[in-house]
Amino acid sequence: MDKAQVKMTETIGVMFVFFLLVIFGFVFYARIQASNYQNTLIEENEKRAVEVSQRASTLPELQCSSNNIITDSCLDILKIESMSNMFKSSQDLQISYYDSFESSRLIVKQIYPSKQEWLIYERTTNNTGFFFTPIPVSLYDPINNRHNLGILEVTYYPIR
Amino acid sequence: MENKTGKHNKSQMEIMGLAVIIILLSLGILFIIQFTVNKEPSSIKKTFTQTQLASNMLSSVLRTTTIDCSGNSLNNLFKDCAENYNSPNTQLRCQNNQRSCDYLKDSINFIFSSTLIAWGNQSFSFEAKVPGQVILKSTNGKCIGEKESKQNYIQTDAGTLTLIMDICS
Repeated sequence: MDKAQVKMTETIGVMFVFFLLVIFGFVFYARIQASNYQNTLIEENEKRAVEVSQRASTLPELQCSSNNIITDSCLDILKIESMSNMFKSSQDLQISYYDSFESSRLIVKQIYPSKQEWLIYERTTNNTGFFFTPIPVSLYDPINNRHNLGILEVTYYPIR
Repeated sequence: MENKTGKHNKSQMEIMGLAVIIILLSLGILFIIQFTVNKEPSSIKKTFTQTQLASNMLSSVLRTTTIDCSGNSLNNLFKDCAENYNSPNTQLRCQNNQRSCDYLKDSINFIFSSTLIAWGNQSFSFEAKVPGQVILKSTNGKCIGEKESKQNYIQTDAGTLTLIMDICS
């Protein structure tokens, strides 16, 4: 009887340690998975921010063109002004561009020779995190036939 | 008596062996966890931003039209400065009485201080050189480690003017 009791106690002890190890293993695995998930989320949001920046910098409504030939890294000031005014007056236009720009803010800032800025698109969320991408562009003034220097600032607000 | 002692020694050795195996396994698992958990996400955005900054900055700056230098673009001023670097009296003179090389230097410094430096003190290196001579250099911070480099070329009478823009991590 005593021997059997000792054996049973031994078995219970071994099982207890075994389950403890299994629980520790699960906890570690869950933590690693959570960390991997966070990294994947950050990468995904960065990809979206890059996509929005690329779409903004190659938007046909803003790009400089002459005889259907597009000039790289160049935005037309008249087109910018027009788009900025349209966005101020029409909320529907902001909604129609949501598919392209999601939750973000697009601002064109002229830095040389004089300072000026135009808000192109704005749709923000309550999220505190954001990705900021400045893109240097040439701002073409077709009236005076000159190129100024500006920055297209793309601030992307991830949804999650 | 001797048998019992021998048996005890054997058991103790076995337990020691098991303990060593468990310790080694634990250390191995700890190392794996450390590398997996501390792995940083790949910086897609950082690479994209640096590439855009380097290439777009160079092309946009060259295309920029000056306000008080006879409507010349900075591209033309670079060309004039490169061709007349060694004889300042023959350099183009702007409306503000500056010669092309000085005007360029001031404009470039203004542009970079309003952009790259203003955005969080971005480290960069800008250099304009013809064979055997550097005509303009502007840097901020130390450019060690990874960097994104873009080049542009302008044909001048003094040789090919190479403009190099390095955006550093």
